[in-house]
Order: sequence, then structure tokens, then C-alpha cells
Amino acid sequence: MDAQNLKIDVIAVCNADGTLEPLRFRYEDETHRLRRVCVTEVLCCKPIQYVGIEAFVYTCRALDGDRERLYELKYTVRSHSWVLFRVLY
Amino acid sequence: MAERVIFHVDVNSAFLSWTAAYRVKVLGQKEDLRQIPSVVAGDKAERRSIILAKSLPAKKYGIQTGEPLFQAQQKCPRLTVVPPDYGLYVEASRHLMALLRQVSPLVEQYSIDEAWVDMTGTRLLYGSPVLAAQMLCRRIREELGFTVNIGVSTNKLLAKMASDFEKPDRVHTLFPEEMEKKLWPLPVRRLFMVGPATERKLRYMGIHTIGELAGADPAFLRQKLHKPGLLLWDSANGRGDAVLAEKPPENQGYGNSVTTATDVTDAQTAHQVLLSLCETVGMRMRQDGKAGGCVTVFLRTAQFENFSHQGQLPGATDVTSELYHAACRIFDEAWDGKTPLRQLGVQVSKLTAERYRQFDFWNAVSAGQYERMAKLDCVVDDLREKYGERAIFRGCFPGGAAAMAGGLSKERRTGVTKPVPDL
Repeated sequence: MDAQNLKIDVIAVCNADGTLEPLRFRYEDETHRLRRVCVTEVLCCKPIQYVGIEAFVYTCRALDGDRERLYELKYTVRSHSWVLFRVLY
Repeated sequence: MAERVIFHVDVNSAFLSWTAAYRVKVLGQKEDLRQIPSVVAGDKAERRSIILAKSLPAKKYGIQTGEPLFQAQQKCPRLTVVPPDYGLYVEASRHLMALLRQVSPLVEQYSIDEAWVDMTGTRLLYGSPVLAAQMLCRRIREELGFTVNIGVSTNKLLAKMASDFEKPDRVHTLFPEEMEKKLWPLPVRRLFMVGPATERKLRYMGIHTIGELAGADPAFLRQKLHKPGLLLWDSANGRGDAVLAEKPPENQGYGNSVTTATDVTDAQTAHQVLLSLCETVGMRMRQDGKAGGCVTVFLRTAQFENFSHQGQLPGATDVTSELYHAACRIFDEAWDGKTPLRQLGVQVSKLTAERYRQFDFWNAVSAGQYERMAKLDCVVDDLREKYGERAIFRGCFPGGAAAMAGGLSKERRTGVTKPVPDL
């Protein structure tokens, strides 16, 4: 699956133990419609630091309308920004 | 005591690897620059653009680091050219050094992409040196996303020579007992610290391989090459430093050069270029608290001929105006007034950290004037540090475009030329 690397707006929860967990996100699709996606479950969270860029990769099950899909979201620590890295299915 | 074990870790085509790893691992692009003929080079539109790093497929076309971009494109018309990203390189370097410090507390950073690691006494922790090096190689590849070569030996010199063997992503050993087989058959140019000029001299003496240098008479080498000859002889015999320096050595001089957009044919323009270079050199010296007593001006003609001329100052200084006037005087002595110049450079040496200054009767600059100029320089430095390098510039530079030539951008100054602070 090709990487999309789309910048997204995210509502996330900062847990008391210091972990970060996405709840909802939205992005603009190719038809310029704003799509809202609701995360139902974070399956895994992996810290990465490729080329010294610290980030966390979240694999999430989420509802896009009625359809459930598997997304990979990435949070970059230094820039505090989120991207929709790719849609797994 | 356990036998010394020194690793030399060298990132394969550092700038290119880091850009490629960023594109593949962070942006998720499919095309890997390391697999195609590609180079990292400055602005394509500028004639001073040179190759900063190349991929292994680009190397097969005979492209060399440091050659002009247009020459590389003639060798390989399908060459992919990517711009450098110094902020990324500094971050990658910081994380590499941090990872190395997790493995051993004794790390000496040699440049942005090279370091020695003292692994003495770690056998019970990580196993044999080769296993430890392979573990380190794998960790860097998996955690940071780029590949390194690791040379394993008993001193810094042999470890560095070993890391330069076959690339990429390899571990090589070069212990003293392996020198005869692995080091001595290599051409003498491959030896650390042997440049083109020394290679030429050695060839005149009939020395073509490192083994021949190792077997040469040290008295003969000293007679022909003076003290460095003995150093080379020691290197060829595998004798080098085994202790890592905790602090990097201090600068011997401060210099900057610039290739101008068009050839310089008049003294006025040349003086302006010299002023912009002195601005940069002076600022760097003041940052490090150094003053210099000798100014050298380097010139490269449009026909790529190089020459340099130097002059002593009455006393050590770090004042931009004084450096500039000295550089102009030296330049006027050296230049014939008509040869078109392509590149100009200014270097200040004979450094001192002393803050006192001896004034003389004949010096045009009085004590008061000198103090005022020094204060002015400090204010200008502070303004540039706080508001950017174009915040203030001399009126003779219209628009301030070339007010500070030859220097590096702020992020490069703190990372590429000097070891970056630890994470």
C-alpha cells in the first residue's frame, strides 16, 4: 500500500501515564470533501526515530462513515503534527 | 588489562543516505536514492554547485564528491539531483552519536558522520568485537534507517582504514596481524592523511603501495618529507593513537571562501567580496574568543589556477575592519589587476585567546578607535544572532544579499562544522 502522508487534524487524549492516543481525525480527500474518521481501537503504538526524527506510529481501527478501515497514523514529536501515513485496508 | 578495541563508525554516503532514508522511511516514498544514480548538490542554477554526496550507482559513472555538478551531469545525464537539508543531517548525526554513547561511554566524534568508539572491555557485554560491531550496524540500520561501515581494530588509525574497505553496511577488521594481507597491498593514496600532493611525492620516490611505505627507511622519509614523513611511516606500520580524545582539537585558523556569481575583474568588487568574507571570518573568531595575527588571501583564477599570499598584522585582532584592511592590502600585493578571479578566500591564523592588545605609535588605529570598532562588532554579532544574518549589513552591499559570504547557515555552523551538543 502506497504511503499517503496526508496532514490531518486530530482529537487525541493525553493519558495520565504520558501516552497519547488518537480519538478522531479529519482530512480532505481527493474530491476536497472533509472526511471525519472515528478511531474505535488503537491496535499498536510504535516509537520510531528514523534519521533522528522522533515519531510514534499508531495502527488504528477506525470508522469512516459506516465502513471500518485500518489506518496508520504518525505523530511527529518535534513538530507536534499528525499525518495519515497510509490506509492498510 | 584487556586488549584495546576501537571501532570507527562511518555513515555510507552520509548526506545522500540521510536524505534517502528520510524519503523512504519518513515520507514513505518508494524510490530509494541509494539504488539509483543520484547526488546531493547545492543550487543547480549556481555555477558553484558541487557534489556533496553521491550514491554507489552514481560512483560507477565516475562521479566524485567535490566535483562541479555540471561535470557530473555530463558523466551521467539521468542523474537525480537532490538539495541538501542540513537541519535533517544535524538531527541524524545527533541521534547516531546518542546511539553510540548507549553502547560505550567513550565516543570521539570526528565529523558529522564519523566517530570512534572505544569498545575495550565490552566482550562480556556484547560478545566478540566483530559480533558487537554487527549488532551496532544492525541497530543503526533498524532504528535510524541508514547504513554504516564499522572498522574494528586496536587503534584509531587502523579502525579508520578498516571502515574504508568494501561498502556499504559492512563490518571489517584490521588488526595488526592482518596488516600485511589487508592494508599493505593497497595504493598509498588510500592511507589516512595522504593527499594528492603527498602521493605524487611518494611516487617520485618509487613508493606506490602502503606496504612499500611501511618498508621504507624512516631516515630517508624524514629527509624527503620532514616530520610528516615519519608520521606517515608510523601510519603505514599501523601505529596510531589508541586513546580517544574527549574534546575536539581547537581550530588552527579561521577561513572562508566564496565562488563569485560572475568573474571578478576589478579591485573594487574584489574588495567588496573580501569584506563580506571578513565579516563571516571575524564573526566566527569572536564567537570562539580568538584573535589572529596572520591573514592569508586565496585566489582562484577563471582558469582554475590557485595562488595565495599572506601577511602579518602588527598585533592579533578579531575586528572585522582590521581584518578587511589587511586582506585588501595583501590582495593588492598579490593580484595583477587584470586576471579574472573566480574564487576568493580569506584565512586568519596565528591564533591567540589573549584579550590584551599592544598598541604602537605607527598603528593607524588608536586604542579608542579600536575599542569602538570591537564594541560595534559585538553589537552587530548580537543583532545577527537574535534577528537573523540579514538584520543588519553595511551600506556598500545593496539589499544585503552578499553581505556575509562564504559562511555557513546557522544550522550548519552548529552541526556540520562542529560536533553538535549531546541529546
